[in-house]
Amino acid sequence: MKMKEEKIINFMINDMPVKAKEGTSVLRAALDNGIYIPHFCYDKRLEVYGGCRLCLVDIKGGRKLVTSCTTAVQEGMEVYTETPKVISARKTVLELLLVHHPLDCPVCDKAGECQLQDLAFKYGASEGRFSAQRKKDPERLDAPVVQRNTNRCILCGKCVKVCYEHQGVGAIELIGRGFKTKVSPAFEETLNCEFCGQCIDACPVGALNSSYYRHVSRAWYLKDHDMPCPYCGCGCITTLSMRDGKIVRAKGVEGKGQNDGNLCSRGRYGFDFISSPQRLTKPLMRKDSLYSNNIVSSEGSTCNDNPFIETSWDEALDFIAKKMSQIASEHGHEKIGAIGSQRCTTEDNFMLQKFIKESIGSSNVDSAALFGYEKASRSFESVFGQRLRHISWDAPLSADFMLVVESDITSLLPVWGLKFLESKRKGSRLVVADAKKTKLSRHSSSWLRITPGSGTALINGMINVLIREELYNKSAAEDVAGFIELRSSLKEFTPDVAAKASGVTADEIVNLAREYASAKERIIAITACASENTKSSSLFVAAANMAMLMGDGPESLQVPAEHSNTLSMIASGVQAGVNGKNAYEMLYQSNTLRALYIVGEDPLVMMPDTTAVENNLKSLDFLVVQDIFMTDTAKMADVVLPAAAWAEKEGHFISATGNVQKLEKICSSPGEAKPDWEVFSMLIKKMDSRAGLMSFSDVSMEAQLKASSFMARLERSKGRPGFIPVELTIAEEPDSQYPFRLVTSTILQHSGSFSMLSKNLDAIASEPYIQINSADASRLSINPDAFIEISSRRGSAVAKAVVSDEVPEGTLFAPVHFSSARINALTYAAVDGRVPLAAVKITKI
Amino acid sequence: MESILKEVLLRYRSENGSVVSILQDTQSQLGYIPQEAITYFASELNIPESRFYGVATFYSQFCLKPRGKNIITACCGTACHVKGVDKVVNAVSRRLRLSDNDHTTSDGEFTLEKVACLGFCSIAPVVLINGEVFGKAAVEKVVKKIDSIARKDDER
Repeated sequence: MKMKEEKIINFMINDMPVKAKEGTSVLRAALDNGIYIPHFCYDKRLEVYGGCRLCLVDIKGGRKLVTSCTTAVQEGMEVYTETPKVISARKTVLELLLVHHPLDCPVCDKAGECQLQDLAFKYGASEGRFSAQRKKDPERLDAPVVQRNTNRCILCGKCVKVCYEHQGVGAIELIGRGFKTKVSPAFEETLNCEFCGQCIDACPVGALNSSYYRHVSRAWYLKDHDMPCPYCGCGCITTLSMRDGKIVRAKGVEGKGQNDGNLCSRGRYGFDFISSPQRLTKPLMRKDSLYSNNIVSSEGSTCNDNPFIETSWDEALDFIAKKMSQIASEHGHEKIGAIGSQRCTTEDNFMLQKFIKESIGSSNVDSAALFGYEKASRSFESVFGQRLRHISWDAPLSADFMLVVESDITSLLPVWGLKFLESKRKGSRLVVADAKKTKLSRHSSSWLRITPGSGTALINGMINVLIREELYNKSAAEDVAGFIELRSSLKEFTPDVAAKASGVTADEIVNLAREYASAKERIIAITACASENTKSSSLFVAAANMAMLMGDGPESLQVPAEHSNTLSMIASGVQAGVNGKNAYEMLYQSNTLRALYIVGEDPLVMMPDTTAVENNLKSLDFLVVQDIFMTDTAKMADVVLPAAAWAEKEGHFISATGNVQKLEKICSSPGEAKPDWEVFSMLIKKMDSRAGLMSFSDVSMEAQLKASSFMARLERSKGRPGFIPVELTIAEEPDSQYPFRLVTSTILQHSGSFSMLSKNLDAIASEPYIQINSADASRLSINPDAFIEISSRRGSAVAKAVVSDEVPEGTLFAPVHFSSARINALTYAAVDGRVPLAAVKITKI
Repeated sequence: MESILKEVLLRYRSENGSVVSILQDTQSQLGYIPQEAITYFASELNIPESRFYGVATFYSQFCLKPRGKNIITACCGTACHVKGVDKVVNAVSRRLRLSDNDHTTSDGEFTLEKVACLGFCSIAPVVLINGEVFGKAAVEKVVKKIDSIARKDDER
């Protein structure tokens, strides 16, 4: 959408000339120009409320004081923020607030950074004229991570509005009236929400606090560091507060990073994974492999049933170098491979591929992104002739029509997901095609509940309508290669056929296509995550076909990179090249490899069809796993190396939006854990004594150069675009023996091994579960919370049943990352364009 | 109850922002607003439960607990207060054996409610019994009326 020219208004605040765009409030303009006007209820993310009456200002010529948050700037206006009249009014407001404030600052976590405290200090409202009447509500400490103390609440309502308006949840509300009003969930029940914690950052006083921070530190002893969050591709900046070398708190701060103060539950609460007692602290070697290599004699060590023994870095690396050289000379370099990590820094991944490519001489380096972002990127490239570019943070805001296909964006990239809600609030159309009820579907303009995995059929149906009704961009599309083929391949794929395949009505498809075509600025947003199994490469091809048919550029397809450093991992060279084997060949095809080096990835939990992976790992001669804790995969390794985690090492991340962000080392790593890049630097030297050890700055420079030249090539490279007709094929359709479809993904609080180590996130969601529709549950007489076993042709898992109509009949949903119920034992690994949905059955226990 | 709630929902489904109307309608049908009703409307309309609960607790017209068959409304506005409505309230409480905390008799026959002002200040103190106005309400008059309702109920 083209923004119309905005008029600039000139006016004065405290006799200082100030400029602001037309329509800006006096308060906003003042804050933007470094003039502080006290305020409690104002937040730039929210509709103005004007409830706290603290931002009163004097406007020359005005009869009375006005609230600056609700007053728009006007040409020539003269605003005064600290006149005796204003100060007196403000003092009265504060005096009234302090009538029932408990003044328990000595035990309040907020003391030292409390706006009420600061303002009472500033305006000296110490003695009130009113007799104090205190509230005596009990503190609510019953919910995970969020604590409420309603006695301290000044009823500014900001938390309520952030939760309802901005976050789209509405878990809390102002309950009651008058003196008794308090912020509470409905029926004063225990708070049960997303636990994003946005309300805590919004609270100007100490009424809402984080449980883990309760009585941990006085605010004035904290030292803050701004760091990119280690979780998803949003690349939010979290402000980490340190005390005695430990991170004690994370918060979002307005104006910092593109998240601009917003955080999700993973970003706000998940930082504590680094202090988990389960962290690896010493290099470990498997006893069996030591015996078989005659390094240690097996005598006298049978009393201990731990399969590993602790060792020194030197010994461990010598052993790895020796085994790698041996395997390379006996079986060939190409029998060695490596899996990189989307959570490790650019430097770490760069050094991994350097080690494999230069020291070992193999090109087999890839990652789990093959099942996620790489899948999308390559499909996209095949149509547009160029790889996927990074997403644009504000793309949802500039679009007037957003189509989200089978993507739970608010769970996978929660803060970017908020942009879709914001855009919808501002009047754009949001259409969600998803089998599962998600936050986006609840907030959508229209929700098409398609059959799981049938996104390709829906889009092909839309393309049929676009072509038949001549709604596409003829001049742009008809000259592109493959147009004739696309048209003829979808000629018979009428809305009726598409409706049958996707489970919605033909009319819905026709209307959607028309709406899509008539929009001025449209985007299609699809997530690409390795844990999701409803998407195949054909969906991305179909979406790219449709965008190109409309003459839209590549930016009209917004596909975010999944993890904190997915983009940069690929850019720094961890991706299967032309000669190299990809992750599928390495992990699923037998006899591809003899030795494998896995860094920061747990294929046995996070990748599909884990039985196949396990068999393949078992057949290896040598497996090295480098991680921050003993993952299921590490348990199979010959050598396990302890890695330093995020915040314990320097490095860089590239977010899904393409921002290069620096990581600082602010904590020491546990025991002898080392940064991954350093391990490879040592290994390279072990393999070739002539090589020197590299310093971090050398590594970083080389890695950055490689990553940035790759990113620059992405911008420039342009192959020949061409339509590619695709059709929907599903790997495994339900049948009489396996009658349910199993849909998998990660969830809001958990995205893999980091989140599983976090005590805070574990307090919110600690148990694996299987969602089942209420009709299915009652037909099979499955009670809520009963344990059920689900099994496919490949494996089975046991977890609690959650009866919920978020999933349609005939479909089960299960998060994959809980290693205690390995859902990926059931899933299907497909890289051939088939939707990797699995058919499963339920057995009651 | 489910069918009643469904009917209420049907009447307001098409309108936006009809939280108050839905609650009023529910209360007039059921006499109060049960928790299940709020849960039901919230999930059907995609409006958070907290919104309904917030509105229902803000307006004193809404009642979240079951009310008695007979409603006694005592006006506690300024004029009625000055004219000694307290005496009448105390007498009714004594007669119905209501404590400070409960407003409904244990047999579910009577509910005593206090409201701010009914607007009949000229005939203060005012008490309504099942909508019938008792102006210049004397203790005896009100208690007598309650007795007669109780007796009629017993006969039935």
